[in-house]
Amino acid sequence: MTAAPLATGTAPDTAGALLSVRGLTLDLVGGTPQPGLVQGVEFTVPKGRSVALIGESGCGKTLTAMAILGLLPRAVRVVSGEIVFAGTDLLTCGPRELRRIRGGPVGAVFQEPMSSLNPTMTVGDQIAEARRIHFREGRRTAREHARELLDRVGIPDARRRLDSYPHEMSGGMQQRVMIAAAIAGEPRLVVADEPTTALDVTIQAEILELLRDLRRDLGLAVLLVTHDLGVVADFCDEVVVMYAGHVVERAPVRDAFRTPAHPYTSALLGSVPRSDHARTPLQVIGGRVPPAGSFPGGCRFQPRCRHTAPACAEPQPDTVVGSGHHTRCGRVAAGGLQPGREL
Amino acid sequence: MTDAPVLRATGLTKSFPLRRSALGRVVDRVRAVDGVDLTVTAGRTLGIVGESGSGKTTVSRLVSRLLTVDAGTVEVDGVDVTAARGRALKALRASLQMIFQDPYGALDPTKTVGHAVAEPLLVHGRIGRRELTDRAADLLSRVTLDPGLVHRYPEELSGGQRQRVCIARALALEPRILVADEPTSALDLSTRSEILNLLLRLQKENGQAIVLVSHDFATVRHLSHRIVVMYLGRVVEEGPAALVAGEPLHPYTEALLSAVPVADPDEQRGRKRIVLHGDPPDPARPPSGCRFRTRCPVAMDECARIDPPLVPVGGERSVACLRHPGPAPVEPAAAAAIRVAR
Repeated sequence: MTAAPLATGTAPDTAGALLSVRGLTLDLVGGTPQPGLVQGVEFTVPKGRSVALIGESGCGKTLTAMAILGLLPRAVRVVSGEIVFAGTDLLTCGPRELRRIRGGPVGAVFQEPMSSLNPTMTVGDQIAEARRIHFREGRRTAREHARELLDRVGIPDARRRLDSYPHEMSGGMQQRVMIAAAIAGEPRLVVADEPTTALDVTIQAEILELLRDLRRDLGLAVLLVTHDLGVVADFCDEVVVMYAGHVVERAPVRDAFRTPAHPYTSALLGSVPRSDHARTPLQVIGGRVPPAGSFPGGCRFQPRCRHTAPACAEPQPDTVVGSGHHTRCGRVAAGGLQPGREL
Repeated sequence: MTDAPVLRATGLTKSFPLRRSALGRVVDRVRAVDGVDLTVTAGRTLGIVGESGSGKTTVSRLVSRLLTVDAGTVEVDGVDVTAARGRALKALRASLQMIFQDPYGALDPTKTVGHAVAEPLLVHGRIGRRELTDRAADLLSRVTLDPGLVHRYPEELSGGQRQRVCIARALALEPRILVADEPTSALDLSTRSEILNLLLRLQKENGQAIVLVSHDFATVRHLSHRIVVMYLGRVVEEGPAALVAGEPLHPYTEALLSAVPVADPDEQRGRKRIVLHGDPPDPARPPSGCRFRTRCPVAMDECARIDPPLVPVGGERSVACLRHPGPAPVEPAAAAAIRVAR
């Protein structure tokens, strides 16, 4: 099920890629079938790099992340594409191999630590479980490793905390426990879906600092799903922008912020308040993300775009506009629009 | 625009029961707001920023009289409304309206949008039932919603549209004060900017005073003329928005600002980072002395002993920190200690 390379685009450069998502298409099959919930999604996460997946709600960021983790809801079906992690296609490898990879070489951190941690298990047991399953460690060794991990993620008095339950901890501490559990399997990639959204901003800063240290010390790659452009600017090396199930732009972080090559990216950037423009109107996109099932043909952003032209009704090819910088805007690709913040 | 405050709150204090004994007596309390003063003038926005447990939402409810104070006073247009009841409270509702965080929870799902928007006019006897639809349509167009939505139900609207409905309803009685508690926190990025633009435009057109409560410093900075920073029930810093956000004086304000990432990779990666360590203390058991000292990167020994009051430090700003004692220090011993620390 290899996606054919697009005419003017290139398949992601898979050399050095730890994770490569190619031509991922997801349909909703339950209830009212909705084809193309996520369509032809392509991007890579290179070894040790941090990649942001951004876009408004309903653009398919979380579904894409769940597909990587093999945690798609029953009603969502993979139509085509592949998700290759270190040489294994996670979509075809079978449940046994998936269980080996998930929680092992691929770790996960979610938004709500309280609903992702098991409330009936001590945090020590939850972290040790990963060691016991993935490394077949005995009870005592696993517990000792759990203590080291709690210590590593900055939980004071780790030995005593092993026997705490999640509800006895603050949100920030719970998120540290979740990160400890995610790195217990010695992952090479951590998929983090809005890991700091539910936290206060000073706690968010601590968690990002921790993730940054772990990346440096363990050579972790991170796929970070977020809607916070400040967090992207702070933490990520590369940006993948999704709109209505399509990847509309991929770029190194500096290029994404300086010379966005898709009007959607530029509009998102323009909607962030800036300290030097206090009390002046912000850019608005107008309208909203269409519900799945009523996506327009061609460019899905065209009904909300201020640069719409007749050509936008045609399918937009993925086009390279710079080193590692791809856009799905035909008008930018054709040179009719210049990449930049004014786009 | 006059300088006379339309809203003035003095010494606001509120505690909530945490636990009761078997006989129903309160045995443990958390003081959510502890001696807070606020002043807002017409046409101006006062931003209140703070994290969970700072008491910012309680303050917004105290000044709106959705909660009654334990101590302190609230004045609207010079009239003490702290204990207003009946007719006086109804009059207060006409001059002060609230906008809430969750536009889903703030609208009755069984009532049409038109009813939601014009109901305050009915309740206050300003219109009869027959005028409801027309007045609702007018109000909807003021918040740039399609007047045709009057017959729709809230569930048919998006989050951003619902928040506009709530704003239209808050405007119905032409209040002089709007109190907005996290009005954009439940909304997507692009919708957030629409609501912020709307609040800016309405204020320019009608000259309302706005009290904006948010955990998001960027939002508060964008809309406010003055900013109040709260920590564990206290105001730790207050002043003109550009100064508080640009040159913070209190170590907590500084840390809070440093924790808000700037959406610019080069700028963000070149910034000085102050990462606070440890969780905020339990609000029911605040530390002795300065409440921020347990997480403060520049705490001194005296901070455990002296509870710093909010003092003016010039430039229309006030700070509650022993490192910024202002013209007249509290206690001679503290002043000496500060000199030593410097």
